Amino acid sequence: MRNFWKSTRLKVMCVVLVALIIGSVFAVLSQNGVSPFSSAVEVVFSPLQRLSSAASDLFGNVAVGFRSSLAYAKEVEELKKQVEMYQEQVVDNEQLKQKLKSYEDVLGVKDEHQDFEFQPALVIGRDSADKFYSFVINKGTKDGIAVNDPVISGKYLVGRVAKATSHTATVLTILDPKVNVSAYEVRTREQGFATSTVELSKEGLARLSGLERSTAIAPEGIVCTSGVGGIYPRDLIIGTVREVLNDEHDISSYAVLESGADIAHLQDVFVITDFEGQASAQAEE
Amino acid sequence: MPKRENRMIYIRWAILAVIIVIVSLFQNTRGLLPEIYGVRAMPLIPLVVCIGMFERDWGSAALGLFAGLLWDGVSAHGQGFRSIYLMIIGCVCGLLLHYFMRRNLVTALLLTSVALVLHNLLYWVFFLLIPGYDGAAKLLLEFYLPSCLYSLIFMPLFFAVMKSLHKRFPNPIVTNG
Repeated sequence: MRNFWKSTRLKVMCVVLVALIIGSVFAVLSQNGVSPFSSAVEVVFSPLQRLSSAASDLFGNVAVGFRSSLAYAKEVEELKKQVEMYQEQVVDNEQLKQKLKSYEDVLGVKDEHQDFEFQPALVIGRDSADKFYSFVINKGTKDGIAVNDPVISGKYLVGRVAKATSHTATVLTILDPKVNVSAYEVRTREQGFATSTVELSKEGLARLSGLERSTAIAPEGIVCTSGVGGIYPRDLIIGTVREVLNDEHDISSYAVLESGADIAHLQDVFVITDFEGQASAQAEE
Repeated sequence: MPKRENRMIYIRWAILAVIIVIVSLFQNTRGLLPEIYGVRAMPLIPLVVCIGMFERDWGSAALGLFAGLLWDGVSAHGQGFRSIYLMIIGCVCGLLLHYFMRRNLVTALLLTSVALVLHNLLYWVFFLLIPGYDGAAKLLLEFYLPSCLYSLIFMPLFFAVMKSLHKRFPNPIVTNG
C-alpha cells in the first residue's frame, strides 16, 4: 500500500483527476456546456450510439411470434411469416404516418413563422440516471445547433439544448423542473411560466404556474410560449390544460398541462436554430 | 515485463474497452434494456467494479475513466461527474482487492452494492436535493434505490466474464484471490 502512495501512477491519476475537474469547470463556464474530454469522446462514439439506436428501433419493430405444436408447425410457420410481414408493414405504415404528421406539423409551424430555421434530428440516446427524459440527438454545433436552442416535435415544444458537441447535442425536456418557459394561455391571455415537478413528470405532465386564484383558465385551454426571455420563440404550443388547481405553498393557482408530444418516446425532433429575437436575447445574456 | 505478457495485457485491455462501449450503448440507448416499473438499470457501475476486481488500481482507474466519459457524453447533468466517480471507484476496487480483500462473488456483491448506492445517492444529492426539487425524496425511494437493485442483477454476469477473461489472459501482477 505504501508503494501505491509513493508511485508515479498515483501522481498521474491525480493529474488526470485535476484535469477532469478543470474540464468540468470549463464545461460550466463555456457556452456549449461540454467538457473537452466529453467532446472528444462524443466525436468518436456518436456513430456507434446512432448504430445502437437504429438497432433498438429494428428490434422494437420485429414482431415476436408464437410457436405451435409439431403437427401444424409448417402451416403455422407460413402463416406466422405472413402475419409478421403484414405486422411489419403496419408498423412501417404507422411510423411513416407519424413521421409524415410530424413533418406536416413542422411545415405548418414553418408557414406560420417564416423566420424559423430548422434542423431535423434523430434521438440516439438518453441518460439512464435522468428521470426527466433528457435525450441525445445526432446533430451538434457543426449543424448550427447551440446551447438553449428550442427543440420541437411536430408543433409542440419538447425542450431546449443543454449542451452541444460538434456531432451531438443533449436536450433537457420541459418535464425537467430545471426548465422554465415563459408562457400564456391562448384564450384568456393569462401569463405564467411552464415547468414541471417530480410528481407531474412521472405522468408526462407539466404545469403553468404563477396564475392568480381567480384565473379564468379552464380545461382544454391551449398554452403557448410567450417569447419573453428570447430563448423560446413566441407561440409554440407547450400543451393543453388538463385541470386547474390551487398551489399548496402560496396563494397562486396552476394549470396542469398535457403535451401533445409523447416526450418519453420521442424518435424525431426539430431544433430551431434561428428565429427572430433570438440573437438579441443571446447577446443580452 | 516479457513481451508476451505485455501483449496479453494490451489484448485484455482492448477487450475490456470493447465491453465497456457495448455496455454503455445498452445502458444509454432507449429500448435496449427494459424498464421495470419505470426503473432503469445502470450496468456500467457493476462492470467497472468487476473490472477493478481483476485489474490493478491504475488499469481499472483508466478503464473507469473511459466508462465515465462515455456516460458523461449522454448526460445533461453534471459535467465530469461520472468520469471522476467511475475512475475513483475503479481505482479503489483495484486497491482493495490487491491489498485487503479476496476476489469472490460475495466481495463483488458488497463492492457493487456500495458503488451503486453511493453513485445514486451522490447523484440524487447533487442534482435533485441541492437544486431543491419538490418530491426528490420520493424519487430516491421510487427510482434511485430500486435502480441499484436492478443494476445489481448484472454483477454475476460481469464477474463471470471478467473471471474467464482473467483465465484466458492472466494478469501476472494481480496477486489476490
